[in-house]
Amino acid sequence: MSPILEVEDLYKRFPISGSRRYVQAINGVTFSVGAGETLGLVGESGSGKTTVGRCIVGLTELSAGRIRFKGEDISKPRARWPRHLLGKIQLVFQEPGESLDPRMRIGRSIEEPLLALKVPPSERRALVAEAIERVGLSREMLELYPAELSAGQQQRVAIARAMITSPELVVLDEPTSALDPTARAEIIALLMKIQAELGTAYLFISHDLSTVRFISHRVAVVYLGMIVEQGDVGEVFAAPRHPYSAGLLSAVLLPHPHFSLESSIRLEGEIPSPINLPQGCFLASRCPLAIARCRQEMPPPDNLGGGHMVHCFRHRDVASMDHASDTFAEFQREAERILAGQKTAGPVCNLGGTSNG
Amino acid sequence: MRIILYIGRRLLFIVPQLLGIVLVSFLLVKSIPGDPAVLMLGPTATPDAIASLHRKLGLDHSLPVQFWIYLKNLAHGDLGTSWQTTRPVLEDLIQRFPATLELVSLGLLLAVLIGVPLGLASAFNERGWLAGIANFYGLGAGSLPDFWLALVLIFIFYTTLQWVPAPLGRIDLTIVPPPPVTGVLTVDALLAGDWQAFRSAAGHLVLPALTLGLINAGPILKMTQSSMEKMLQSDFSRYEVLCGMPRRLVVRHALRNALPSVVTIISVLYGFLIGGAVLVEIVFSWGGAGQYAVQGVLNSDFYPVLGFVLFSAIFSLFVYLVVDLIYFAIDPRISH
Ligand SMILES: Nc1ncnc2c1ncn2[C@@H]1O[C@H](COP(=O)(O)OP(=O)(O)OP(=O)(O)O)[C@@H](O)[C@H]1O
Ligand code: SF4
Ligand SMILES: [Mg+2]
Repeated sequence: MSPILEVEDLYKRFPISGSRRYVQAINGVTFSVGAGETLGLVGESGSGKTTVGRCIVGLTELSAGRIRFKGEDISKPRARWPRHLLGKIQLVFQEPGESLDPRMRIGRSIEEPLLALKVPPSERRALVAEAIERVGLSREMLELYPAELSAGQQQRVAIARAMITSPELVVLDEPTSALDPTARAEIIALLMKIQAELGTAYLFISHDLSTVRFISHRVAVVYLGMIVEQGDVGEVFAAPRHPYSAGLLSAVLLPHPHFSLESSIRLEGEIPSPINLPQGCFLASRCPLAIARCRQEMPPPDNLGGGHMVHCFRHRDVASMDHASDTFAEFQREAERILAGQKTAGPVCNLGGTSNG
Repeated sequence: MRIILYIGRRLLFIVPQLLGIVLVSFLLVKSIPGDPAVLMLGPTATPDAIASLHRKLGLDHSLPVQFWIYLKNLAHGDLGTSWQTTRPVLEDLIQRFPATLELVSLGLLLAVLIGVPLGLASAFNERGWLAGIANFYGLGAGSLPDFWLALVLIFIFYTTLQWVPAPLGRIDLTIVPPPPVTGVLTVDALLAGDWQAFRSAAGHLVLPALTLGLINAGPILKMTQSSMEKMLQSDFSRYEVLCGMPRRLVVRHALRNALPSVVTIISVLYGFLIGGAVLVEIVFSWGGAGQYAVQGVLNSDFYPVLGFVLFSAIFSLFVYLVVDLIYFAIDPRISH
């Protein structure tokens, strides 16, 4: 898979009003997304996931770094992007209720991206009808207002609206975290169906690890605006090599009762403030494996092969630790079983209750 | 159909609402120290004379009985009599309320004309010079006392420039007022085709209305600015931006969503100003309802105060009903 999105050494800092200091939200993020692929972006609240997504869609200006879409530079304000890229990168927000204009009928909301592309009216109508059916809603709903829909239906509308321009990449910013478990499973199934049909690439932002495991091909773990580990989702989930990933995974309450995860890695304390970033490894204050060197130097990326990258001086020690990788393997099998069942038996799986701060 | 049901339900609620308001204001007015009998009879009155006047005024009854009597009279359209004007309160108010309404309505209209455009302009470019003016205005106008501004305006436009008539009432003393139809002098003058009376009435309106307009544009400006900013920063506006929608449309859609909060603050101000414009009324000897009520409070003249509260309450409830109906018509979230 050749990458369609390449993010290189992205930095973003927000000035704090009334002060000379900055919120250092993104601190050197590098990753890529292949065509038709789903990259899961996981991390705790405030780690900078949304900011990364906003930089990519052009809603936020970057402080430094480079973003390329199919080889073209898009690390500039949206207004200066090449016109033919309009509609090629789409976004789905976390709160479906807020992402739809309350005073606009559903049909018009779905149609909006086409207006910007100056698609003629007759064509627009056909595309809107196709889009609403693709997400499993009836055409009658086009006449309704957002408030008359459930949150799950609103999110389907947001997905229909995003897909109407035939994007090649959709940034999904926690598209399911505002939904109840049933709606969540349905939306995930819908997204996977659309990807199978249209080959759209997803950047799937979430702090819900089991959902990410379920939908992603690859995963990137973000901590304080840095990707500490990324790689194939099965590999990272089964054998995390960064203490933070291992800790994050061990903190997950798995939906299945007989998976009890006892990892030997426990993260303590609070996330350091993104205003005063610590020297050295950002995790050093919380990491049980920290050594003196960790507090002085930033660990460089280490390539473990197969696209598995990790930023940790002691990732070999993490690998050799007994951190219940069997359980992860079992979890993986279970997830695949659910995934298979999902395709045949419809949305019955339980993806709920797995939030992790 | 639904709309008629809605109005019916609202009207049903208005009666208990008014009863509550009357009860509370009755208790408040009665708790003001001061005895109207003493004031009416003067300092030389004998205790006997005071007691007999108390009986005549019904003040010898207990408070609940007094309230009951007031309600019974109210049911017959009798709002009591003012001992100061010795006229029925209803007549006094019918004469004075339109004066206040005229002043407040025009003042509020000016406030909207100043506040909304400035608020919009400052929301569009947060760092532009109009935004600077708007911010300055928001700070300045919010902290100015209205009567002080009135005096400044009088000094500039009457004393110095002589552009407007003296701040004494609603029309020149030398001009015969038009026959009352609505009680609003400018309207009545137009109805009577009396151009001279209209000119004079309008001239007297300018400064007090401008005072109210300048002061009350502040909150309207702030609300317009903040709700517009909020809408422009909402996810649905952001989505339109990232889709490459023309700025003009993004702004129009944001405005459509910001409008209800602006309308709400305007309607709240409208109700508030009926009584809240009293200092301006006094400065310009407007002779409106607010001034009448304050005289009542100062002289233990209960019925004008209660009558004023009742009139303002009915007016406010009416304004809110109209606003709700507007929402009902324009907002899909309520009407569906
Ligand atoms: N416009 C902004 N101005 C100032 N600081 C900001 C702004 N947007 C984000 N931040 C800060 O940047 C950091 C990253 O925020 P971001 O919203 O990207 O995190 P997140 O991973 O998406 O979190 P969540 O899971 O809560 O959505 C936070 O510390 C946040 O306070
Ligand atoms: S570099 Fe050191 S502190 Fe950072 S994660 Fe690795 S062991 Fe922990
Ligand atoms: Mg976020």
